[in-house]
Amino acid sequence: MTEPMSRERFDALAQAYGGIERWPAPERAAGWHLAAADPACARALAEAEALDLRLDAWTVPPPTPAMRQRLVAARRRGWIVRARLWWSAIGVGTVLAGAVAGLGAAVALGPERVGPGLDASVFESAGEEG
Amino acid sequence: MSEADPDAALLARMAQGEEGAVRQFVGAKLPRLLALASRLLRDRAEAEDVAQEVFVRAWRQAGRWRSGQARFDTWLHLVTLNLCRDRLRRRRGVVMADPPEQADTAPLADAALAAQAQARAVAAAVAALPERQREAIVLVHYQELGNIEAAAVLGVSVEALESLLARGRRALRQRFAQEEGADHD
Repeated sequence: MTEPMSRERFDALAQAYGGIERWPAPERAAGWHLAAADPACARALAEAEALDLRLDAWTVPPPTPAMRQRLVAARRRGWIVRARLWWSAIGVGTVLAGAVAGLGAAVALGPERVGPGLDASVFESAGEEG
Repeated sequence: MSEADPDAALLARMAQGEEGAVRQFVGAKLPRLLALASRLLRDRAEAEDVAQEVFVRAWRQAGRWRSGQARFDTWLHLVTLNLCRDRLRRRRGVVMADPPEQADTAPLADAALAAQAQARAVAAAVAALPERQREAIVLVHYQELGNIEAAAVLGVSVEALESLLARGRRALRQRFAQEEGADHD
């Protein structure tokens, strides 16, 4: 059951939003009821719809395919830059950690227990992208 | 906002580096954001710059977006609006008689010329509105944002948004009526 709407509320909505299909969804059903029952509301609605139609005359051209492609490419470049930074950070961290661990291990454990570190090829493949 | 963000799944896919999601996101958002910037700035080149900047910011935020606070689309509109406001402010510092309009030099049929003239008249009328009324009308009528989203972008209550819209639309109706009266004289 739709809650009845006051004439004042109907006018306020038509003046703010225009045609009923543009109103907030919960108010539309009551709006249609009142527009059908009250000729003054129907007139107010017709005026609002006429303004909507007038405003709709102002269209703007859609984006070009080239612009879409530029944006997708920019996102791809962003990923590559981030991947490079990420791998660079791992590389720097590994070198530093390796240097510290190597120094400690050489003193305490002997050379055969020192860890192998990361495969250098990942840095090359990250560096070759883009 | 309790309603689920319709862009949440897409944002998650983008954050995982899925290129198809990026294409889908650009396809869905670019026309809307470019239209918003075009209508606020009335300069295509500037609007494209703004749209590009919005996407750069969107790429940065997509992975960190926390769904449930606000819709990502609302945030995109807010960023676009703020970038346009900055440009309009800078433009006001430069002496400019009229906002630049792109003239189409291709020959047009009478109907197309009439439609173009009507579009220009509407654009000029909307541009002549006070800033907040203009923004409210562009967000609600042209961008078709819901009242809660539009109010959030403008930082006002829904009641205040409705007041801005009603005043803006009244001013437009009066202007169009005057123009029609002048045409008939």
